[in-house]
Amino acid sequence: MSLYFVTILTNMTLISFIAISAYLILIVGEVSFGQQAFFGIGAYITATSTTLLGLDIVIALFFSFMVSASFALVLSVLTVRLSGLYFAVASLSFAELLRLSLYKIEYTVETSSGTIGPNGPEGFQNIRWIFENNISPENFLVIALSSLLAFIIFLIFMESSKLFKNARLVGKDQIVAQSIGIRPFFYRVGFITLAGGVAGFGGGLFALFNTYIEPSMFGIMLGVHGLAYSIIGGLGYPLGPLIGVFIDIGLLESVRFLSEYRMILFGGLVAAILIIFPEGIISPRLVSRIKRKLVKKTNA
Amino acid sequence: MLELKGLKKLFKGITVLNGVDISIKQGTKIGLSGGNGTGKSTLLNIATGFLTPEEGAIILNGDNITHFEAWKFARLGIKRTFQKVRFNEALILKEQLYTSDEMIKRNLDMLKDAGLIDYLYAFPNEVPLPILRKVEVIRALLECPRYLFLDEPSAGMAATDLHEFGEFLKEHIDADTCLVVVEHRMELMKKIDANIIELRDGKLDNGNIIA
Repeated sequence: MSLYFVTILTNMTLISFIAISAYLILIVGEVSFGQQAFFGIGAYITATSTTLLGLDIVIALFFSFMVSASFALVLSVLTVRLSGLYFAVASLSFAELLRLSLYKIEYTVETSSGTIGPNGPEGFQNIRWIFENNISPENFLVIALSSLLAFIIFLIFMESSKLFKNARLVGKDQIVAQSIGIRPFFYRVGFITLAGGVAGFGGGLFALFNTYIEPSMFGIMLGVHGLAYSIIGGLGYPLGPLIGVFIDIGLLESVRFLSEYRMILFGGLVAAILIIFPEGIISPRLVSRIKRKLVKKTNA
Repeated sequence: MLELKGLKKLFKGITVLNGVDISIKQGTKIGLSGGNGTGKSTLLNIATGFLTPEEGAIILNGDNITHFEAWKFARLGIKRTFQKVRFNEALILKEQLYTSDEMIKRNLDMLKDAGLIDYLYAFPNEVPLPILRKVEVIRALLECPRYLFLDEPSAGMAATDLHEFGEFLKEHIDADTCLVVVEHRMELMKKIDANIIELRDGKLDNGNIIA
């Protein structure tokens, strides 16, 4: 496989973490424009853990997950009385607050391989984990894909659980949820927190792969893309966001010759898909139809 | 016992409930009647935790639960259905019972009587309204509520459907469960032998009745 394809696939894998994170929040009925901030925090935590603290990658990514999840927990508790448009705006404000704070964090150390540590607007340079451990781009793709697969398998497994079914009910109709004894607050906080953790984990991998990060990389467009992938792919099944990523990045990359017009194509593509599939490609209704067919086939 | 004491509720300065007192014992069947806009649904919403009264208290077995959230009322055994059936159009009915397969098997008779067996894998828009109304009741009954409030269950039902619905309630609501039906149509009230209480001018008729 050429380096070009490996890089594209790795980028698709990494952005899938933001798409899944947006998907988890959409399940509980909210739209977040702030998942890019948790991705950014995750990136900074892994960068700090592997360079300044010399920690193992597993521990670094675990820290990224936990710290990002903690920030998301704060967001979910602060916005407990907000929903819809108001939550969307609050999530964006919170994300920008976190991202702009990264511009103020300066703690650098000089080493033989250069300056390491967060350095305000200049970003975090020399994240050399892949070089120090002789990880080839192909091997890194395997690491990233395996991590993504682990999350997806977990989500597919959980999809049939009472926890996820209740969460979907909270997202669809909080009144019915409450009438059968489901506490919306618990699911909302839980899923927003988990979503922050997933984005943070992806951000950690992004920092390792990119070897250099800066606050401007985690702007709103990153979050909007993640959200769009989830909506395009549909909220019926955890594979939805991945399909969104595949369609969009796959298509955008295949029309690279259109240069700056590609983003116009992206907007048009999102609009066209949502006209044809208003609830995304793998919609909850489609999943229910497939389940019904499978049951009928089994009973026949 | 569920006690509603001195409930007052205002909407935009207009008094809807003006001191409602009622004590509901477990096992009683109550029909709450009254004209449009008399506050029947408001009273039901307060009794099930979906609205908070301006004044008054809700006491369950001696505990004041007035300011509990609706989900906590449900967990304490106070369940309800809705005037307009509430289903997710994208899910089959079996998934909208929000219960396990084992629980469904255990309550198969109730599902059969509701005519739900043939519609377990149907989407709500493929199912007749009387069956959807029963599904709402089943959804509440599966957790064995102590108090069940039905908000105008006969809305949109023909007389024969209403008769069947009444039979269904009589057959499947435990003797220990208190049933409160907010209803205009007397046929259903009679069918379930309900004590009829009328809400008028924000108060229950004949002063305040103890059921």
